[in-house]
Amino acid sequence: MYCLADCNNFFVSCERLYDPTLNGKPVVVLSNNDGCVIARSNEAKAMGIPMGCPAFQIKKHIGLANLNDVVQLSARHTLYHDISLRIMSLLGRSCERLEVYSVDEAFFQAPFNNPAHDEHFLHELVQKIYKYVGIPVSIGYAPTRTLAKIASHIAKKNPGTTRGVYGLSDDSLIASALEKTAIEDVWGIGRRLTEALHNRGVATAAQFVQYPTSLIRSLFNITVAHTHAELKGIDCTAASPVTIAHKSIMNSRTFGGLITSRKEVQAAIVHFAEHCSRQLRSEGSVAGTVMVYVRGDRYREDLPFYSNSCQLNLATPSSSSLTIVHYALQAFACIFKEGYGYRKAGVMLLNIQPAKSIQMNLFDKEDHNKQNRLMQAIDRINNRYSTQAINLASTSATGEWKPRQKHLNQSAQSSLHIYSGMVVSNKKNKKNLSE
Amino acid sequence: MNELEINAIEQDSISLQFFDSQIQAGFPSPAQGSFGDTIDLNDELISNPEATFCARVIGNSMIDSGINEGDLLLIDRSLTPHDGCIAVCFIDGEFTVKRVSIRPDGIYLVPANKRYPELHVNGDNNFQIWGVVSHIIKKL
Repeated sequence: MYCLADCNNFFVSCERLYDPTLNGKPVVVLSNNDGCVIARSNEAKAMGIPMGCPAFQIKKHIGLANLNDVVQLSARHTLYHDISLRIMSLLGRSCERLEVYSVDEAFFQAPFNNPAHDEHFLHELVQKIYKYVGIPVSIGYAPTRTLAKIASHIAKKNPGTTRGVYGLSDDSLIASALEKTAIEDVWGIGRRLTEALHNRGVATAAQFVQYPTSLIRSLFNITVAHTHAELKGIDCTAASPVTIAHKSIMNSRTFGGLITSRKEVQAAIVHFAEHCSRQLRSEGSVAGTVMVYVRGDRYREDLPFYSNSCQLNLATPSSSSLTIVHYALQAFACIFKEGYGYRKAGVMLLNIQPAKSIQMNLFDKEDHNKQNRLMQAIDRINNRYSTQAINLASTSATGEWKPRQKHLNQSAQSSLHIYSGMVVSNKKNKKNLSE
Repeated sequence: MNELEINAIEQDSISLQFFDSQIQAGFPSPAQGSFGDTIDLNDELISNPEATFCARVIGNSMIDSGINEGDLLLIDRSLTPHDGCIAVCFIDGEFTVKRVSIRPDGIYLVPANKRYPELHVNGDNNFQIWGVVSHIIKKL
């Protein structure tokens, strides 16, 4: 079963955590330069303020209500990022195979193959996140991601009856959920597709599912066919372009011994991530997703066993060691647990594509040209002298994670270190709470 | 009233040399204990990073409990509030740090400064216990 955890009105909920006076009021968060509405509280939704509405048009939508009653806030993305990391980290430690889909959404696997157990577990998870981080979360679970998305939507819309968790665990529940789901609310069906489907008389997800598969395939592209199959309960993960790449680059290793130190495992992850990104650059490609996994030793019956993985999508596909290591460390921070021994770890790069075809992200603030030149320089030095002449500072812990290599030829005596502050950190988000 | 400024916490960890002997307020014997162990202040102070928030104290309503203006509070939201705990509370539009006293007739917020009155929380107050204070960090 796939689960989707989705934070309710995430940016507004973050603002309310730090300022509870906002509870119960209509609140909207505005994009950079206070342009458009990018998050709305339930009260703001009820007033009729649409998502994406330009700030100056809010008045037009609220009828007779007073514009001064609507609290308008400028977005504080560093704050939201910090809260998001806390939630993803709680999810990563509690669940398996976490895939962070966006700042406020993540997929993971239900731990039990039993709806009652899963439901109980997920309710506790929702309560734990609310207690620890103060953010309300809705979780849906279903046989496919597309259905899990619908389930989480139902959980969010009916907090009273679902208490934040809703499962589409059998066919009759799925059928009735699809009846009530408008086609434009299905994950992956955009505005133009909605129009095309409306023209064919398809208004709900249920009507869409009734359409014969062969017709869907001849009329639309493969992505739509996957959505169609996923709504029928057929898991298309393996074929979905969203999560699975055509190709992947992997670097992993079984350690010389069981490692318990966070620093050591982390140093290994940095090394793997660096190694993968070097290979990526040598092929002239970029990666869109970074996956990290850690595993204990299943055969040590005297020790508790732990194994987990986490994948994150990059803001813009990249081949820079700095960027890829940064994401790998974030993913690692989400799944590492103290008190376990680790035998193996690895980094995998997914969604690999030619560097020329990248679509830039509007909100990405990194200087890619500068990073590219830095990487080219490092690659040239490493190719000439030794593969490890220059590496990132975080790889150089004691080296306990490295395989036993007692007979290495030490050709590089002096190594340069690039110090970069890219351990998962949040530059101080100061906010005076008592204005 | 204490006012608070709540900050996010950096996750970087720094290991420091740990002098492993009971330190009394005199001169420790150089022969005691051993250097060599390291202590990571994040590990020492933060057991639930996801639930831990940090706030700076403004005001002096808790000075008799050793909480002064400028001190840094670590708030661990994973802790369940109990009678006698010191907590960051939100009441009627303001954050405040007080000792929580649970009595037969309800919850009281008790300051540690004679100049401030106790506050009996009733249904009219917009009140929540935001998080339990786990540590105070102060500059001497």
